[in-house]
Amino acid sequence: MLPLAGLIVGIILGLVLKIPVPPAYVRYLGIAILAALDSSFGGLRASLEKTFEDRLFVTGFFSNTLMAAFIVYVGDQLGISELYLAAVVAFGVRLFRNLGIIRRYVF
Amino acid sequence: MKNLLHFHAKRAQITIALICALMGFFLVTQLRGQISYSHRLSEQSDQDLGQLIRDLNLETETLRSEVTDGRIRLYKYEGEMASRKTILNEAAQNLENLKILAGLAPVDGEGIQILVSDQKHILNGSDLQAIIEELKAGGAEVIALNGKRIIVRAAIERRRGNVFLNETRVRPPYKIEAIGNSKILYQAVTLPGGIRDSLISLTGVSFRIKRKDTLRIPAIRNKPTYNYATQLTNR
Repeated sequence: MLPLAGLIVGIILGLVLKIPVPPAYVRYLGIAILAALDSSFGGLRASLEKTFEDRLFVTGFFSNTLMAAFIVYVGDQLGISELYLAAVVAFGVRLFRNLGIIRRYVF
Repeated sequence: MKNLLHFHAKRAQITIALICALMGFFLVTQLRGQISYSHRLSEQSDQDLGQLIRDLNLETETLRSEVTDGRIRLYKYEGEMASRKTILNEAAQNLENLKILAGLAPVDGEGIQILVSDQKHILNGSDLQAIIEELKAGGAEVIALNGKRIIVRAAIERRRGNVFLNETRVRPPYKIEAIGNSKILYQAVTLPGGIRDSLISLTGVSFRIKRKDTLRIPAIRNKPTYNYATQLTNR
């Protein structure tokens, strides 16, 4: 239940702080959200498999987010802004795989 | 979800919760950014929206007139550039013509070549001048004597038995080249009773004329200097 509580706390924080996002960074933030989602599911799965290590989890989260943002940036610089799709696809695939494994544990 | 709690350490839960909080924060911030515009519009009253449309229309009008102004300016500049280009082209053409006239540029073209032999050294500068005048009358554009360009200031005269072109001695046989319509030039010098007939009647003088498809005449070697004449500025 704690992750859910964390999620709610984050949502409330976002609503209270009202930080405006410049349009140019919307895609960066979107990819960061995807990375966070991926990391959360990965963490959940690892904890179900009892292989969870918080150091690995945190570094994984940050490196994934930064790498994703970097890919978006490189894509923009090279004129192939579709490069961010690489990150989206990678995260998406892992998300569904983790979800499947979690499903098997829970039900 | 409930049985999840049974078998993992609290630490994992806390860490995941933190990341989830971060994710929630991101999510809300992102969604706010995405929907803020449409949200703002739907909240406004019809009057406000009308005002907004009027404002935007006004802005569109201003921008449109700005575009028109810019376009007009662009056309003006383009026209100016085109006229400037024609003026420049004309000036370049004029300069080229003047350079040929002054003998500053080497030239080639069709024309005739006249070889005048003078075994007894009896020809005067005026005889050569007469040939040159005849060629000019025939429309010669550029003339050279023994490979030296004849320009406006060229003087041909006889001093102490020798023929000089300005300060340079020219020796027979004299080779006179002229660029122009070779047919007309040929006729000009071979006119019955003309220059050729009067010169070949002299002893030791022969006349050989060749029509050429391409003749090359070099530029003058030294640029003329003007010590006395100064140009009047045209006001």
